[in-house]
Amino acid sequence: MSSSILTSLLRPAPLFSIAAVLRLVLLLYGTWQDAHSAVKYTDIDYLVFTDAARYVSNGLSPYSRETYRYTPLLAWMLVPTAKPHLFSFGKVVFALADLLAGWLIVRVLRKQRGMSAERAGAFAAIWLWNPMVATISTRGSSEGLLGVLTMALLWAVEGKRIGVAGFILGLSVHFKIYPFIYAPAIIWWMDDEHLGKGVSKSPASFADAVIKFLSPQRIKLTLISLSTFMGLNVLMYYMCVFPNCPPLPLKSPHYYSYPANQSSYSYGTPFLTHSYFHHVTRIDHRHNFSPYNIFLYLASADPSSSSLHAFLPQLLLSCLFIPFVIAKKDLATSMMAQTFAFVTFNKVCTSQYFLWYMIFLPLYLPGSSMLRVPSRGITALLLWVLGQAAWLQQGYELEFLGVSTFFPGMWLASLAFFLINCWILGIIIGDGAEKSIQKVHVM
Amino acid sequence: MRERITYFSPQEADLDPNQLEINDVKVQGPAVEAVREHKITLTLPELPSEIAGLLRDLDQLQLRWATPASYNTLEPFISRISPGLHVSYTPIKEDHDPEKLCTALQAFGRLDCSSPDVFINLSNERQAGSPALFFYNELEKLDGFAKRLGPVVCSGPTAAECRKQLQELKDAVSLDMSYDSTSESVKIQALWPLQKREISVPASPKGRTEVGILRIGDAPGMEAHEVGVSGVLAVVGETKTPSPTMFAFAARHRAAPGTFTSKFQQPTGLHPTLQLSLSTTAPPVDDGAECAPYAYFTFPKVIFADRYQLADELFLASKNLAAAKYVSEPVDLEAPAYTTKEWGSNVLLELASPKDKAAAKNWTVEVPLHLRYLKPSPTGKEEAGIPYPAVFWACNGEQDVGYAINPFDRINLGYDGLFEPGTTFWHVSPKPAADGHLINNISVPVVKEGASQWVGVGTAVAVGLGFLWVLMKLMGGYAKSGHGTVKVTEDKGKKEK
Repeated sequence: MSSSILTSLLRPAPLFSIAAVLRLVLLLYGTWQDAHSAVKYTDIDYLVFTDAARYVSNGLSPYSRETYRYTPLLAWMLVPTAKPHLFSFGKVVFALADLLAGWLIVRVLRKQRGMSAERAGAFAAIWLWNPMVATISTRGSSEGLLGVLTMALLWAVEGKRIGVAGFILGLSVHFKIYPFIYAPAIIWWMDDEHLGKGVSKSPASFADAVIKFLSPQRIKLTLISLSTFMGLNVLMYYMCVFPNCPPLPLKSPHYYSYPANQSSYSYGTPFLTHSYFHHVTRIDHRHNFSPYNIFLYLASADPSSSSLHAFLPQLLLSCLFIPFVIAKKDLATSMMAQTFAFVTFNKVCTSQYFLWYMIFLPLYLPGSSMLRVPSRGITALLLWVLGQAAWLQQGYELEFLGVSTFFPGMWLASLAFFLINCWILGIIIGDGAEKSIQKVHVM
Repeated sequence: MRERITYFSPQEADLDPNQLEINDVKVQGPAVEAVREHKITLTLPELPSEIAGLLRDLDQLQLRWATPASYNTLEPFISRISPGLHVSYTPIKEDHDPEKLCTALQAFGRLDCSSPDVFINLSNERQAGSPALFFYNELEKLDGFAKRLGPVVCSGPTAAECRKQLQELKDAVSLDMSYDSTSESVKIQALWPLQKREISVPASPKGRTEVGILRIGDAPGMEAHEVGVSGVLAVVGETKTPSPTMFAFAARHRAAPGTFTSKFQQPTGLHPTLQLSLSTTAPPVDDGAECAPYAYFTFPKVIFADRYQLADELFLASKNLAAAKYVSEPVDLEAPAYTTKEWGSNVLLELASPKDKAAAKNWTVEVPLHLRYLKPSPTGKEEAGIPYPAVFWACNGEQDVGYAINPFDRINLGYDGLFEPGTTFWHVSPKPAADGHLINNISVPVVKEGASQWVGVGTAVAVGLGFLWVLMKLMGGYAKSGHGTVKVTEDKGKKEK
């Protein structure tokens, strides 16, 4: 009885209604809390976006707002929030992006995986009814936008909409850099078989293989995504401030006569600095989940050290090894594993980044060993939560009680969480490598 | 060179001019409860050539020092700044290199000021004539300064007397040195606190020395907002008998009733809250002037206020704050102290007045602050001292009040330039922390130095293990099914597995 009620709730109409109501309630509750409490529901990042949107609507650069480290597109998108009564506009956009991402999940599961509506709904609910996802977007964090972009990318690729896929790939890399890890997976996946051209004979020679690899579709995807990415960058770089476009200020000989808002003339360098270079040069000394965190704090205090080598294991796994082994077998699981590796091995890691891989859960879980062997799935979930809890406990003592827990407590907690994540990543990779074997089973 | 030495006593002080002994070389008198101010005015040619050369590149310069020790004082010497050394200046040329100035400032002790980026720009939102650049450094005592200055300024037959006078700086509670290019003169003002002290003024070896022995008192024709003064004046070596005097002036800085304390709420964590408690919160005047309480902070770079956090009205109200009127720029909201170039930041907060009388006793406001990360230390802790703020009521007044007539006037204290010219500042006296200092100490958690030998290796091992584990799983997958699509036909056999 109860299971049939639950099943009926997983049909598209109730599935999306519940997801929408959940977000609406959180949105209204957040507005109420913001108006009545000194402790705000709204995320600090949202105040950064809306301040930037206000600058933009006043004809200034969004980079006039300190810590705005995003593409100007985001500030433009949120221009309506500059009007006081439309303050929540951006949160509505982020919540709608959640729903759209959920709709894409259902669509991929049904059209490309042949699932029933209820079964697809059940997996989509992992995203749509997820309180963490709904809270993050209604608090005004833009990570949900990445969810819809990456899911749309997968949907376009698996639907063989190469032009659309190229555009989305370029746009999402422009938005948040990390989706570039999907490019090698998609390119690798795009063989004749996956594009529905039938299995062709193995190439006779290496040169044949190279020629065969450079298929028109792959070249098309590369060109479209690169030109979208670079086109947006050039546009943002040369974007001058409407309505008047004064010339770039010549470098002033003296620092304090330099206008405080030097970036208010043109996005130019501030755009590149804040959107891209910041992520390479940032020293990431403040405590976060990353295994490198305490190491980076120590290194940052010593100006002679460099920590760029920390990118190596991360990039090898997420851009090379994982897509090579898994992408052709199961693109969604490959993207999930790549994202998981990217976040786990990243130099900085906060809980918002977990959203980046959670969007792929509904596509990975069906047929995964985590569902087939429930004890494994439950253990993974428990360890994942416990790892964070242990770290958060250390973080609480540091942040609120002022106890120097950096070493060994927080350091060990971050390493433990890292190793837990590596173990989970191993399971996902194992599943991805065997996915085609399971496919028969599932169908 | 001109010198002016003033002994300033409370109204009730017992002071008989007949007890003064005035002769060619000194003015001497009995002990009296008094504040002592010593003011020296010098022209550029009277200064050592390196210092004069340094000043010629500047439009104006103000060095102000206040002691971290608690002290008592009197109107009109009532104005307060945060304890430490405050340096503000305007160069004549915009590309001025502060290095020469910084070298000269080393006379006070080791100050980190050689990079132009250490100074913060003040010129926005301030009254005309305010200095352009500002730098602050904690400085507990003037002992070192007095010692280092001796050989530079004391020479010739009067050197011993000159050194003796410099030694007196050890007991001073405040020292101001200001220069401006219009008058081409340097004014030095030192203040000694209110206590029983003997009147003793030697003749200046190089110029005229005026002596004033004064006390607060009503002067005829004095207006309600003025400070009245009476007493005697003399010039060492010129006057044989003291000449009586009585005058009144409008004072920019006044004494407000009550005291305030400043302390960090425990535990401090990484986001400490500074609590300011005011013993009384009644406005100092009730003649219709608009008054509001303010606190002006001087935060060394280890701690800062987030201007964005202080923009929300509900949040401010919950802390008994009315508004963040000024936060100096730039304040990086993320950088650790060791990559922050600026010396720190200044913040002017308007405090909220209590709504009803019941709340007016022991009114407490909370200032939310944030700590920067500091370099590793052997103990995992690093102590930092945050100077008390200046707490005052600012009352608006007429634009053309003749404050400059006040012979003891003090301007460019950092906060005054942020108000209208006619504003009166009613200063609330700071009540020190338990150790008698006007400094709030805070312990900043840092990573232990000894950690580095473990963290480097341990992190590498953990990341290596994690990486190898993932790689093994990938190789296992590859061994089983290669890198391509697994053919469905092959799978059927393994289906049962």
